[in-house]
Amino acid sequence: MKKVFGVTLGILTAMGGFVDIGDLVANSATGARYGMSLAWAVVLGVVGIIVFAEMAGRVASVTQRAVFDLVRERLGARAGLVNLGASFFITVLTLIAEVAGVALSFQLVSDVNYLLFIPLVGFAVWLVIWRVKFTTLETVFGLMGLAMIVTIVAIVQLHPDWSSLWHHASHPSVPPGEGRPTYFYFAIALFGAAMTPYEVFFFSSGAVEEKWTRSDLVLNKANVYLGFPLGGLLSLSLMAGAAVVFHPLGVGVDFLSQVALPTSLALGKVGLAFVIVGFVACTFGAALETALSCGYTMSQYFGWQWGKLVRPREAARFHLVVVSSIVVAIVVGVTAIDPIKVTEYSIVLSAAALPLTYFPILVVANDANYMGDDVNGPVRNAIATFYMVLLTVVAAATIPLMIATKAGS
Amino acid sequence: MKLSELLGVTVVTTDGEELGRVHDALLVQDGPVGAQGFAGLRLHALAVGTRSFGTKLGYTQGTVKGPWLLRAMFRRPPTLVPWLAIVHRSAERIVVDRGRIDESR
Amino acid sequence: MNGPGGEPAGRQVWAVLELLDRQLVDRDGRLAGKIDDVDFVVDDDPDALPRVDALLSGLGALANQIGGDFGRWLASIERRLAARRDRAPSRIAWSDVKSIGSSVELAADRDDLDSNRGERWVRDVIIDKVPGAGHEAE
Repeated sequence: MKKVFGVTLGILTAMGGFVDIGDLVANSATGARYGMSLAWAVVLGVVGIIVFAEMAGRVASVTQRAVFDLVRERLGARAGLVNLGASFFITVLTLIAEVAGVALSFQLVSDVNYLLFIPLVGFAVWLVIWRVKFTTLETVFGLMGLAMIVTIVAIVQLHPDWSSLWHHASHPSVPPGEGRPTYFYFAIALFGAAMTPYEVFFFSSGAVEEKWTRSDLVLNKANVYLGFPLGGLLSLSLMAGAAVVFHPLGVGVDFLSQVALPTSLALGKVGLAFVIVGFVACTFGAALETALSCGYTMSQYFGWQWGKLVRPREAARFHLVVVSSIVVAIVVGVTAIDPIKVTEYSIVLSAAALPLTYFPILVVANDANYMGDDVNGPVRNAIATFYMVLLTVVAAATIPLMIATKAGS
Repeated sequence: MKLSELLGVTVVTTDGEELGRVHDALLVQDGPVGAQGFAGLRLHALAVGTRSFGTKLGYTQGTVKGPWLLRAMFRRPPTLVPWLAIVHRSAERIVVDRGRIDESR
Repeated sequence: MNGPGGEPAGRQVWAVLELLDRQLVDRDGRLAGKIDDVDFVVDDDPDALPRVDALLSGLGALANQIGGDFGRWLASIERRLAARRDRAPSRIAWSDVKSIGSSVELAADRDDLDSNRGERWVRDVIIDKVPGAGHEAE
């Protein structure tokens, strides 16, 4: 019975933890501009994160090694350092966006300017990481994130033309008046929002923190095969809500308040309350994960003791990196830099950096010495190789597209 | 002498043929017994090859068998140059006696 | 006679594949850095093979692998932070190595390692000043 509970909990936390500020912004903005015709990018991204996270989780369970430790081992110190630089920078950028996202969510309920919340949020993130147990942290915020299910209820309640929505989703096309480059730029953003590197850093390091072993591989699979698709469903319902409410009016989504609008239209104040709880849970949870990931990546590259599984004083440099990253997030956040813009940059750059971390994990997942019988099977390898090629193509296209479309304007 | 001083150094034969760059060093546990009670590691040979990226992945000397696309890209067996074949060693290049390489095969 | 971990003498170890960039673990299971370089001693005898004398771990040693201007800058940081300039800050004697596997286990406590000075400094100067630093882990 306890094992069943453990599995359900894992699924729930994966689902609730899947949506972060990047998903909130990207899915709504895309739904508003393109209706459902980019739904395929979300599906592609969700399958991708399933493949990536399953491998990273399996490798962590069998070898007790987390992603960045293996990145350096397989790529060497020099290539690993370049990888660290890029990954760390993007993770800090994401942290800035998530902290701002929590602050914006509080602004929605209080009419107090979000800038005033930023230092408080930063401090709260640090305090939770410093004192709260890893499993508690994961469980509480994962479950609270389930409040986002209200967006699914809302879209049903809006009584949309389902056949029309389905038609646009299954027959993707660039709408008249829109350029191809911008269409694909949005596709990359959705892809990057679904396949964020920090999620894999966190998932893999978390597997080691929770001392998963070979016998937990079922738990790993359940988390990944059930939790992430359900999370993808939340993303699609955000897209559908924006497609139904904003797309016909030709209105773009530039503010977090707009992301909440379809739900409050459908379900009134109660719906709005739930969705804001959902926003806070998702962004705060993601802030915890990204702050920890800043520590994980740097510590695992240099070989420092990391993690919440030891006393803070026994992982001194790890905690120093975590608190420094939070301080940076606070300092940058209060300069009133546009959090939505930072979010967009963080997800697009994530898409560009994915191959760097995906590639070593794919290699280790095929290493018979490390994995024994748990190496990738031929089918999984075929799908994983497809994604390797896809990620490389996406990474190569990202910066040129960003420049050509002036970041999607 | 540090390992980092050997890695990446160009290796040429006494005839002037360039064999590539040093990728790895083969150590064998057959040295004098140390303080902990076991034999030390001695450097027997250098792995020399042309491709520079991907030597640590595990496709050549390691146990990584797939996926086939990556295996095709990175599986290039290096030349094994015995340490004693080295005639001259500097920071920029290592000169080896061709004859002593073939001997060890 | 048997080597670290009990394998028979004559065991082959690829330096780059199996030693370089590997995790060092101390005798209590705590992580103690990565192997950034390996130091050999070369005897005068022309037929003698180089012997592994020490593992190197730390910014200065890492700088050797990175190379170039950035590497030199990293090395200068370590020189400036080194407590006493005549010490070899990154050296872990081969006699401290207990076993070689997917990580390299040491017979020493990481608090006794020169190469782990940075960790102790951050702990003493920053982390220990914050309440709850010694709080029991789960």
